[in-house]
Amino acid sequence: MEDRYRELLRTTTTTSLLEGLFNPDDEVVWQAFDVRYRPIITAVARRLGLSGSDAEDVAQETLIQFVRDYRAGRYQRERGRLRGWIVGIARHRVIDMQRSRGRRKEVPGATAMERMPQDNEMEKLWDEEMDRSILRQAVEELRRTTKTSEKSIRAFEQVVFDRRSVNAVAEDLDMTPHDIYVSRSRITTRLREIAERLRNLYEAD
Amino acid sequence: MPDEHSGRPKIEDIAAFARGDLDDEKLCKNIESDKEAMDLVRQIQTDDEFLTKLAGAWSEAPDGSGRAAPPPADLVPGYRILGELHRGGQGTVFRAIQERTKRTVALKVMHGGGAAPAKSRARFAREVELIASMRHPNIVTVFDGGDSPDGGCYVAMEFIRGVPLIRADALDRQMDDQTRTGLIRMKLDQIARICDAVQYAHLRGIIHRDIKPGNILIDRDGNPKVLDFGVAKVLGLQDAGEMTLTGEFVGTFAYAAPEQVSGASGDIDTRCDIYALGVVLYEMLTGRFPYDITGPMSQTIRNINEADPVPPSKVADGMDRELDAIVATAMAKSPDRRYQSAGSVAADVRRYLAGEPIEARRDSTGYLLTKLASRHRGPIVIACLLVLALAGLAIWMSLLYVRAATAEQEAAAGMQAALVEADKRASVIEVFTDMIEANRPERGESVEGHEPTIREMLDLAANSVEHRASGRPDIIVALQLAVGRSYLSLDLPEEARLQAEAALKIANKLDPSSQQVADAEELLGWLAKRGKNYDEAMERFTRVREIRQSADPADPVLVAKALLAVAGVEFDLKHFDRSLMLVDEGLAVLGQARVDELSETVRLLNHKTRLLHGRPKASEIERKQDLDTAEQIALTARELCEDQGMDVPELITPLNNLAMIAKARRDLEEAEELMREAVRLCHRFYPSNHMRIAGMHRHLGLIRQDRSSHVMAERDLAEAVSIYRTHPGAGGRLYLARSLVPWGVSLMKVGDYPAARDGAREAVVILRELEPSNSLRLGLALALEGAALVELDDFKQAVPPLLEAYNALVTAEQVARNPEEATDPKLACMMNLARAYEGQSMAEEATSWRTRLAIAREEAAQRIRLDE
Repeated sequence: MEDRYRELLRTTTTTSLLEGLFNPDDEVVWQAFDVRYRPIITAVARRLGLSGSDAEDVAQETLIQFVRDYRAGRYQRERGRLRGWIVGIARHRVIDMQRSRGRRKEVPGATAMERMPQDNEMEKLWDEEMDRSILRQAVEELRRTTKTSEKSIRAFEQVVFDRRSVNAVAEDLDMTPHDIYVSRSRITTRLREIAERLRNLYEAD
Repeated sequence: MPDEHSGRPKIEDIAAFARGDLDDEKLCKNIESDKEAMDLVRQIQTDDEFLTKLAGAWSEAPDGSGRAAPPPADLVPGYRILGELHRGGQGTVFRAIQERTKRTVALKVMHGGGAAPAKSRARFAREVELIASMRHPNIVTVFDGGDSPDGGCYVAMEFIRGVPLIRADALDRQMDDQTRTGLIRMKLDQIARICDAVQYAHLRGIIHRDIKPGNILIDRDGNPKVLDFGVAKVLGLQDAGEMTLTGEFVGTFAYAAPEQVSGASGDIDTRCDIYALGVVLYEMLTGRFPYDITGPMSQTIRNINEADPVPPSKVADGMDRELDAIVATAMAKSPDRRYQSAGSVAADVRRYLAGEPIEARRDSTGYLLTKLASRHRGPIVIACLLVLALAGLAIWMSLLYVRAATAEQEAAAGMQAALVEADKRASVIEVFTDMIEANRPERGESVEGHEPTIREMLDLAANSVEHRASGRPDIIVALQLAVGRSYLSLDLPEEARLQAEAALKIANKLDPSSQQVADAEELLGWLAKRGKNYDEAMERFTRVREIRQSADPADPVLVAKALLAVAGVEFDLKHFDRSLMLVDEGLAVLGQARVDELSETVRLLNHKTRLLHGRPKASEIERKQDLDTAEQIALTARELCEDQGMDVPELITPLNNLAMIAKARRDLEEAEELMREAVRLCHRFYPSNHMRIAGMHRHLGLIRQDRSSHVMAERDLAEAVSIYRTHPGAGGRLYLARSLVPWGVSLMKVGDYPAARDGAREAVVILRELEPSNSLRLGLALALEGAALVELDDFKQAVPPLLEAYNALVTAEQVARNPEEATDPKLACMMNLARAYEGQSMAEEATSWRTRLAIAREEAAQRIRLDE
């Protein structure tokens, strides 16, 4: 099951996932869909000022609401982009959350203080977060599928993610700086390819 | 790829060139002229662009699945990590479960190495303890802190679901006047509550140092909660100003006060928090920073130091001159010109909300006092303690006093805050300003090394109150009561009574149903109770209760307190049923009001426990029932305290009561265990010579005596004795005597007869003064003196105390509540008399006492048989 959902995530377009989602019993499709979109919704909610746990709540509610809408036939793939639809739901969830927090009887208009961006602003946030999510998935896929040596990947991660100096990493891993630059370039190219393929799966939503 | 060995550019140089980091001109030219190298440069540049995005995306994975492996669930012992909330430069905040309490907490873990606190473990523990002692609805409570296994440290705090205080962007938008007014008022209300929180912390000597909207959460009820109070310091982080200078936290720069950015860290006190509050207020009201902070850092520093912020009314709608004045005063460049306390910011904001004139532009007394403080360092500390007392915080006095010795800096800040807290009672302060000025400069320093004692300052205050505050009777009353309470806490009841009576007279004249009358009656009630004048105490506390109950609105905590006071006297008068009813009424008042008042609730439960334990029982069954109920109630009290998830001083009495109950059940091991915990807590919360600690050691010592652990018991009782010796008042002396006797008994057991003799003699002297001549206690002390003398073969000297003891013990056996307490000592006394006479070869007397001893033993044995 683990493998199947990874495979779905790696190869299946959102349109196909949506088709599979009609079947309420197909846990694996649901899982793949969830993994594809939940991080984006969570990240957008956080960027709107929600705390980590609130953002997680919003993502959960949004996904459930979306699947409910979708299975009830309210969202149709051919009629609109998924992004717009989910953003619409998420927006209301975020407002609800802020309203429930901002509610204080004695003060009129308390909820007005919350700054809520328009849909187009939210879609811009969405696109940025989608990109980040894709990049993260690309790294994970690279880790799982690469034929590059373990050592090269480790060097890459230490230089890029931990921001260590090439010389220090080279010394630690018994490589030359030259080796590291070479594998860095190779891995970057590979990551670009993976990210590009994944991006296509979203089909611009 | 260029070959490293062919003299072509090296890959590192090409990479540096690609990033514009290569300084060597010759190498640069070399690369520029090499086509392959230049291809590589472009490749590295596009890669870098992609990788920067990648690294950013990776480190900010919203689900915490980033590069860093998920932290081990047991990163900090005692906590189970659920997920990551925030990752910062020096540490990470996790959501975690505290295993012991099953409560969700935010766990801030500083990584080992860089940010490890450069201070001793003890100091760290003390600081954590200090911030963990804060309980305020607008402060995120810290529960715990300690070392983490990787060499860093952690702090566990309340987990709040909330959003950071956001900027007031909404104000920029179009909205009607009514909505805008509502919004502004809401924000002002929030800032006032934030100020309350800051004030609360300052009074405890805790400076935040990094107040900013990101450190203020709005919870789901719209309630502001200030995060990280004192945490920066505890975790060894640098101050906001320093952080920004190293370029690490540019965001907080905007909230740093001029004295912080100028780096004179010696000048940093509570008032840098006031400044930050001013900036936060400015930002909340206008949606922008008071200065331009986008330019180079040097320019920003110059702005903070020199530029006058544009008044809020010039940049946002709905503001006025008064709000401008509040903001300007909070943000004044010179700390001396600012509000001197967060409390005075809150007060002015609330005055503004209520439409009353604000004080922002008045030259504050706090300012004068601070100037004063810089001139008289030593004595002013005492004065501050006094001011604290005047603020009705007499109990804090002793606590803060200890901290003054241990954590100088915090205490100094506390003093400072105490001073400025009192600013809102400006008239009270003025009286003291005058007093200090009038009394210190000429004569105060003239006595070498003499600092006035609290007692002297109190006397000074007592004598000049009416004169100094003439024309303001309400202030005179407040002063007199505060001074009176302070006297009482110094174990000087007569002095306290004079103050309370004078205060009551004035307060009654002003308004016989005022709370001040109740305050005065309350103090007098305690004094009467202390003097065992129960009827008077009953009258006074009943009056207090009436006034508290008829207040509109009645304060449930004060009502409960009054009910408990009456219940206490009913208990003293042995009206157990009435006392029980009153306690239950008090609990109901607190329950209905849904006030989360731990202290008062626990106090009521404690009284109920003692009442059930202490009231007379008609039968063994009833005794058992009462004991069971008492235990249940004590356990409830203990649970309430333990629900706090940390040590609280309120837990001491429930533990003590449970030990008492265990002892009554003869479960001495359990009793000892409970008392040891009580003693530990006492040491934690009270200064080392506090009577409370002595009381707990005494109780523990008595239990250990019952267990025949005489060596341990001797140590506990010696500790109690040495503490009581430092309290020369009547209360301290009585308890000294009551500890000396059991201590002497333990000394006898361990064979130190001379010390037992001296202790007994000391007790006798005190008891002769305080107790009737035939009291049980005096009898016991005399018997002990005699017994020690006999052991020392000082037979002649032993006889007089033994004879006197015998008479007292026989009387006690007839009248005392627990006659059996006197029986054994009486028998021992008779035995010692016989030995004393034998030692002097007075055979006739010796035989006589031997005979009487045999008869008395037979009587005692018969009594036991009858009981059975």
